[in-house]
Amino acid sequence: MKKLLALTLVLGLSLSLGACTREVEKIVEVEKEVEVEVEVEVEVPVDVVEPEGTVRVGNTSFNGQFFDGWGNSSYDNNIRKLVFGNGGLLCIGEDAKYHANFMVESYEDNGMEFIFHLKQGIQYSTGEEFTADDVIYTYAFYMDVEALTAVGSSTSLPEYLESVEKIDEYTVKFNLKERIYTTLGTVFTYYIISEDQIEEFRPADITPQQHVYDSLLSQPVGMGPYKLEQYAEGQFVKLTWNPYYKGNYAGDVPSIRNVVVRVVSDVTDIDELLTNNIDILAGIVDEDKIDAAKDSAGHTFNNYDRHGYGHITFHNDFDVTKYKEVRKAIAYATDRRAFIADFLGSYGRPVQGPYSTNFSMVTPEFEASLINYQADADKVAEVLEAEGWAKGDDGIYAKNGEKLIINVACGTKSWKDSFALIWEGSVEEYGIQFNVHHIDFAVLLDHYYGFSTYGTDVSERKYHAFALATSFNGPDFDGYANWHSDKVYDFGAQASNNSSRFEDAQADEYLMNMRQATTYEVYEENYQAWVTLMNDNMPLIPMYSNDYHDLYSSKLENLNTGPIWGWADGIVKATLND
Amino acid sequence: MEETKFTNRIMRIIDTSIPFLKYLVKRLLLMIPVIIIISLLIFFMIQNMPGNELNMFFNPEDPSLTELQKQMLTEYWTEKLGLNDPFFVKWGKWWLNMFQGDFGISITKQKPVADFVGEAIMNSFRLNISGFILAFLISIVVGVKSAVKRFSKFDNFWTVFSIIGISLPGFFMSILLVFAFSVNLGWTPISGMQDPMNETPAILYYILPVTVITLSSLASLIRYVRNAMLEVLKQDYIRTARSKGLKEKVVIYRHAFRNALIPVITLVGFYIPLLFGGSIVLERIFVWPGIGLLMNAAYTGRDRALMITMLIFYSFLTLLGNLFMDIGYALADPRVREGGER
Repeated sequence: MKKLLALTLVLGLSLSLGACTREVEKIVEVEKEVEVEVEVEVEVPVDVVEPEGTVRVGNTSFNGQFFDGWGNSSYDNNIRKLVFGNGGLLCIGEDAKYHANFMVESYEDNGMEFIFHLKQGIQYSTGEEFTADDVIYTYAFYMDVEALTAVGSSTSLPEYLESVEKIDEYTVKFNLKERIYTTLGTVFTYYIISEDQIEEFRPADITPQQHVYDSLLSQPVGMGPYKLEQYAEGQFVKLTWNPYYKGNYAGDVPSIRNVVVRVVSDVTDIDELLTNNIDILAGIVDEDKIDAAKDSAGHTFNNYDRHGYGHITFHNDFDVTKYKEVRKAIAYATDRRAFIADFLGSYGRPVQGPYSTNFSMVTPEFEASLINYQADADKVAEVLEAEGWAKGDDGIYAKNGEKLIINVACGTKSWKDSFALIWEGSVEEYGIQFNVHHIDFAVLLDHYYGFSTYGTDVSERKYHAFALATSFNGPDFDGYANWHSDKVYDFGAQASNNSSRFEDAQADEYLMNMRQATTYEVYEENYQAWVTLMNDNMPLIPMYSNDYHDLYSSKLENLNTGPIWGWADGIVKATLND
Repeated sequence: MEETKFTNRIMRIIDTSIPFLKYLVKRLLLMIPVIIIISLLIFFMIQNMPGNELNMFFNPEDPSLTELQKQMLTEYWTEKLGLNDPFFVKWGKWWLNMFQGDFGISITKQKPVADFVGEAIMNSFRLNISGFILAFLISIVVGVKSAVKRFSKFDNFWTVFSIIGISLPGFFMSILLVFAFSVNLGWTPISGMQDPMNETPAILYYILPVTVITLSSLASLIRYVRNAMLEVLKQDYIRTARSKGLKEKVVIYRHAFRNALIPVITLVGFYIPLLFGGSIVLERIFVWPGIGLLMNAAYTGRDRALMITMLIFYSFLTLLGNLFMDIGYALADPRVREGGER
């Protein structure tokens, strides 16, 4: 019996070693694949002036998913922009408005039907000509829910789009299923992929989506200003100019030949910039780094408000934070200016609601009309005592057996330290006790969304508020998914999209009016009414908006960047002056 | 006559090898239940680690994801990662798939673990092997000389050096080196593994991280070799060797050093798993695309497939390291072989 057992174990070990050997072989193959070098012999059109020079950009990471639909890393998206052009049939311009992209001559908006007239003579970086077939192929690719799901991708198109028809070689018609205010951004900004690239070596027995996932995810071919030359996983992406590129929506063509996007460490990224190992370091918020670049004679910067905000979000259906007066009192017990000074230094500003100052709807006049909550013990007493709250023997406000002891969860030590600074002595000063818990971020999210598959026990609700930050995409805002009452799910049953669990019939009405608006005026009016309501109800305390800095070498000229128009958009117009 | 000599030699080799081989096979077989038990423990701990990877992977309140997309992604990953499978089913599936070279799907990378983990391990290995070889070579030379010339200026210098080396954290040493050699002198690149434009020789990218690994290991290794050597030099057989009039070099390198090697072999065994493991701090500072960075992302992103694969891999390496140590002992000391046979 012992011998039999021993033999079995030996056999098992041999199999294991065999598998490992096969694995090693597989790894070797993968090694070959990871460093993708796409070498395509391209004949440069005679009338094109060849750009020169190389610009190096510092970047935090890549996932290597350079096709729409896989992942939502903004770093990957910068590469997509360079390869495909900064959008699909429509793009967001430097003015943060939608424009017909470079491959579109014009388009007709007939309500539920859009007709796009495509430009002739547009080519992919391989020299292949762009036609209506590529548009049809792209939309068929992203409408196939089943095939996309099978490879871990996702699409929102079937929710809004009924069908796409080819009228002729350069005309395409879109029939919408549903039209909302943000339809332009949702439906028409998908990057146009190359049918030839995907179909050329696709095995007959797998779907195009499967083929892209298996073999092409890190080797995109597009019509944009640059083509991907080399991708080294975890290290860099090297791109070189696309000689067939005719210019972006505004007619700008690149004058820099190569763009290298390198992964740099947040510990030494500023040193990389100051020693000219990289030329651009975008989206910096650290005071020390910004000041170091400002002090450097060879460097300059663009700065803008973050397209988003940091916040303390309440669970608006839980314990004492379900009361509006309590949330307002907490806002009056929170010294946001002191918090910003400690948390961000000089590079941040307070905001008064869940908005970005970069939205065109948020005008300075409108922002000034909102309640600016400032630390004020008298206001705390006023709002609480008006609703019957009174201080107990321990100095903490209480009512009907409920006490103002607020548990706040945060995922980083820096949040906790800044809270400790502003809420020290809060019981004596405001009659509110804050218990700040620094917990693992994954566990924090489980409590915040009210759902976990694993070890976190969310059945026992512990936290009233969560310290987090939010960023927006694009120039429009559709708050339906995150703020409508329909999106609050039973706690513990599934992750709630409306994570603040704020339910208000009036707010829902504004959100739906915004969605259904057909003019900017209606949209703006309802947006502002919604923000005003949020500002009054305080379902979250907006803590700050960063002052983002894109730092770059002075040898780069005309590099215009902003919250929506990033360096990957602006590089097309930039020039390199050595 | 010649033939008899040869046959005798072969017989002698066989006689000495058989107990050794038996010992080796016994040790290998013992590893199997150990790795199974370790894998169960790892699975149990990782599965009970709080934090839902789906919440980390895609943000339910991301405005760029629609309801349908969230639903699709949730269903896909729940199925793909076997999130609803019972514990033993997950554990069994992992082993079955592992035999086919499938270590599961990484949620942070959204691709099979087998597709990328090898490259990361090799990147870390390249650094570690260079650093450890240098550290061992230097420490053996310095350690032996320090022991032989105990309390000399040479010994005192390396003693102070070792204390500084042991006290200095790796990240601090890394930053100091970057500041001195990259930022100020500009001799080496600050970070990375290769120049995308091929203008800087790849070897330059190795200098700083390898120096940190060497210096970090060197300090304790020197002390280790020195102490081992001092212990041996006190032994009677060394005194006997000297009294026989043997040359000092012969006494040191033939008689003393060989015996001092046994504790050093133990140390080499301990270092084997470290060769394939990356340092999170070092790889983060030098942006070295190794396993340390990957593991860090796996922990924060609750990438259970990657964590389980790597932890079982390291356990296997640790067992291999122990085996290597025992083989080393057996080769260096025949008493161990005989003990093994008994």
